[in-house]
Amino acid sequence: MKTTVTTRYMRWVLTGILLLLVFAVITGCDSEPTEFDDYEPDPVLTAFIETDKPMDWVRLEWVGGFYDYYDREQLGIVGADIVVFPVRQIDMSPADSSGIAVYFTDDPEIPGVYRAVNPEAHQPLGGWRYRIEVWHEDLPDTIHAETTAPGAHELFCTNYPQILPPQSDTLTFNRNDPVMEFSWTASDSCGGYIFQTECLVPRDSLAELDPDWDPNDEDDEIEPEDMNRFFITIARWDQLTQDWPWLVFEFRGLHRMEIRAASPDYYRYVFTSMYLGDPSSDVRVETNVVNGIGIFGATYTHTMYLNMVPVED
Amino acid sequence: MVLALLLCIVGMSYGRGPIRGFVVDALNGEPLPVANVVINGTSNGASTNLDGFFVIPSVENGDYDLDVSYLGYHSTTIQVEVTNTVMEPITIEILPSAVQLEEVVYTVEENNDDDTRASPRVSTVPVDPEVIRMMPSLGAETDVLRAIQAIPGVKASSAISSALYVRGGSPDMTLLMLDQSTVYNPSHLFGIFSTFNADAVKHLQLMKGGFPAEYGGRAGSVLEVITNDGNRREYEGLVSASIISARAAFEGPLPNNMGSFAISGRRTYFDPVIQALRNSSEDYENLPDYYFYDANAKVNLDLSQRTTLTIGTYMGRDDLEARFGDEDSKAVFRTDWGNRTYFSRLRHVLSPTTFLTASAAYSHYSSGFIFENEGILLSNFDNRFKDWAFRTDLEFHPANNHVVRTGVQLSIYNSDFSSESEDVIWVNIDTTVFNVSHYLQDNWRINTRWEVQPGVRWYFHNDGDFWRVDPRLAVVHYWDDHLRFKLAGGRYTQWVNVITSGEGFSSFDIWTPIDGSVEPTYSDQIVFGVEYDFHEDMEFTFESYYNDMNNVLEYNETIDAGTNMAEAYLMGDGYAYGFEWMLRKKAGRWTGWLGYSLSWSKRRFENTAVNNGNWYYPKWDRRHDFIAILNYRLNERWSFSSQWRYNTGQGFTRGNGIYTHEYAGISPGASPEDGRTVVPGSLNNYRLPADHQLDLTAIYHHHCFGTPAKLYISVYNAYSRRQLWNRYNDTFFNPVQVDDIKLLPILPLVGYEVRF
Repeated sequence: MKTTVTTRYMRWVLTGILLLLVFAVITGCDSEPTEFDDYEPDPVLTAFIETDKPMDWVRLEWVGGFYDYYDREQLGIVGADIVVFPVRQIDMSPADSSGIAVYFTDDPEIPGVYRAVNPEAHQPLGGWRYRIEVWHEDLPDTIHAETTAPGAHELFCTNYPQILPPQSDTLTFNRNDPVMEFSWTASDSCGGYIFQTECLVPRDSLAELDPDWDPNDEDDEIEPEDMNRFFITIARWDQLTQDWPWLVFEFRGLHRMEIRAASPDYYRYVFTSMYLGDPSSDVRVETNVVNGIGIFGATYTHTMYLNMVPVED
Repeated sequence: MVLALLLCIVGMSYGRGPIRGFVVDALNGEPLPVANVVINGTSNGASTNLDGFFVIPSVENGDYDLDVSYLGYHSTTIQVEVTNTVMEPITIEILPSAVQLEEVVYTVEENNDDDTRASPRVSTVPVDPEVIRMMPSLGAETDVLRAIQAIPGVKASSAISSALYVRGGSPDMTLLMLDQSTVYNPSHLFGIFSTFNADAVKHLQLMKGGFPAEYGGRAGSVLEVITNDGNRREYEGLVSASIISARAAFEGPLPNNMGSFAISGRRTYFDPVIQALRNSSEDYENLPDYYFYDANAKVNLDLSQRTTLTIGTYMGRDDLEARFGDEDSKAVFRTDWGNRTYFSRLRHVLSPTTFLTASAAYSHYSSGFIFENEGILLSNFDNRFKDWAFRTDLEFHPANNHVVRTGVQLSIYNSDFSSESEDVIWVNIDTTVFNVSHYLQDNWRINTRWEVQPGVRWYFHNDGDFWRVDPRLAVVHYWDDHLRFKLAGGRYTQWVNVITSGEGFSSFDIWTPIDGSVEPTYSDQIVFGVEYDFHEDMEFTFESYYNDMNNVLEYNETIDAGTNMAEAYLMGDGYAYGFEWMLRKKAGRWTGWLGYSLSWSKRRFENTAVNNGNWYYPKWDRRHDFIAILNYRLNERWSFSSQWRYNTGQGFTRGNGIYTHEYAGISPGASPEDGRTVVPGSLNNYRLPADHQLDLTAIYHHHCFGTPAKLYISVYNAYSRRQLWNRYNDTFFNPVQVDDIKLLPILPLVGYEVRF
């Protein structure tokens, strides 16, 4: 009797489960993608100011289509009104920008690049806060961003002092030389320090530092994807020394090396951009640009030049 | 009040007595957990606890037949007599069903009824270790966690990961217990192999959710692994070799019947092979050094018929060192990680109806890496996590229809985690906390139809002065002998969390306990299930669940200064729900299961940069998972095993656009891709294509110089469909080229095992 009841009951239970599963499978079948992004291309604003140096350029462009051929000049936004002006002085009091706002206008050679019209009007001062504003008829909203210019600071290289500005001798190094030992004084209003090198040798003339590298050997040919001529890394605001490993130099020839005190927003921009290309990371590059992406950053820079040669056998 | 209850029960017990004892393997004397003991012709019975002990507390004086059954063993019946005299615990020996194959013993009726009536455990899947040892596996390495991944509701992040994602929870939400001690790192070789040595496993069960109050400290699920006590009858050993590693195990009785011991170990061969390759050619001089090992040892001292003291250890470690760069600018990358656990455990039959266990355990998990060049420390992290755990549990059988369990646990956690480069400490969290918890639960069989298991666990965590109460409830309705309805739910609080890197490469796991700066993670779960026994060997299970997760913690990858968890972690919430079914054949020539799960999982970290604070599907969210495990014993010589899996592809983030990423002072042309950079879309906004894979194993049983031996022949990924691990945007090309990162193709593998 009980078995009969069970059988009848189970028929209903199993039918119910089956129907539930069919419903769930149908509703659960996703089309690809899971969730469409309704993406309207962002405007990209890139602008850097240098403490105690005249303002130079600003770049304004559109984000290109993901699967489209990327032609940067085609994506440049021309005809915008751009101005940079101080909003706060080092003592946090409001800055009077009248007469010292710097305006930018289109560079006729490169679409999307704007050059300062009146750079002599004002050079960024350490500790002052600056604002950039961009208007364009194709932009629904004003693009704007703010940054604080880091204060000047001193740099020391204990074992190669002659490489430092202002004399800035171009020294020659190989990978067996003692590593460069840097130290510096703290920069006010600084978010951190940026270390960067760029090999100034053109791509088609690159030669590896490996002493066994042979330009005539096909096996030694440098693949285009390996022609990375820059290295960038960061040091936190409370770091005041850094040894410079030779590992970061890959090619022979002249290199520009810079140590920059960075505004907090630019430091975060560089910090988060170090995750770019890591497929397992979900980190997004931080931006301080409102109504767009990109960066309005400020730095105080020490520039050096050095010449890298291979170790002699 | 408890005393009064005891006196009352004793008073009521005149003319009655308990039946109690241990159920053990007849061949080696191993206690068998979760075996069923029922008085023949009645529904009066009990199941053994993890020490193989059972009590039927109140039986009228007289002679009885006891039916004893256990998954993977022949059922047997023994006679017992209950008198007014308090009887010593009896020992019931049962034969493994595998004996049938080698000794052709068909005289015992085969009945592998499992623990379905043992207790109202919902979402609990016991797995026969013998089935695990037959299942196909990568590298012919029998792998416990990979077998667990074959259970519906459990997902792997990829075919090369042994991390467990159970019902939408992250891997740290699963409590991994080895001999009732917590294991913090379950993986070797960046997660490809699990650390549990399958040779040593005696009992294995996964509680996917709705677990009882006796388990605590994690917000998701529990994997309980019990290893062999050691053969109490005779010495035996095992050596085996695969293309990855060699394993050995030895066990036997202690002198004068004092107890038993068991040791086992495994180590990879990579390092001598790598060294030989390095010596053979300069082309191989940059090959990294790598090895892993694990070892278990356990000694059981039978101090009396009622008391056993167990002392044991588990050790496992991975070590990798890579040197690269030119000869004049060599950089070194070193990483190692592993777990050391020492434990002692006393089990004592306290009274006719009371069983006591007391344990002390120390777990030390450490991980770290160091990357340096020319003596300059470029990057380093170091994590040392120590857990001292002291625990006492009391199992009390006040009446035939009640099993009361209570216990107290003190855990002291010390975590020291630092991340630094040459002169900067980015993160430094050094914290010591203690956590006290107490639980009380009752298995109450109200009548033959209804069984409930109310329970509560409460905690005090000193850092932050957190008091938390986790109520739990499970209800089972037995419609008849074949059909059961189950419901369970409760709150589950978690006190330790792991920081893991992306796809869960286990060397970068960092464990930290909750400190006062963040609230503990907790989940509210509810599970409903139906079980139906089609046949004595065949079971159908259907379950649905909803899991609401709160204060979920995610490592803040962009932290640049942190001394506590609030700075190092992002806090969010999430939920998961789904349906699962499983059709399982538990005994006979054919064994295995078909399983399917349909599930959804979402997370959100409000007011953070993670997907701009919006809801998203985590990587392990997959809609459909289908698994078929089929094992077949052809004859005494040959057995075969196969596993086929189909699952929805995992999420990945597709780009929305391309722009040029610039740095001050560096021309975009300095990079090979001219600074082209992807604007990422919403997190995991697309899915990789669905995956499916077939693995096969044949096992040839024979004798080698008179001792039993097995030859394993496996084909991993039999039709060589390479699973996609991730999709990568290569901005070197214009337009962007989307490249798939694929996993392993077909791999034929062999292994050999000799028992002596």
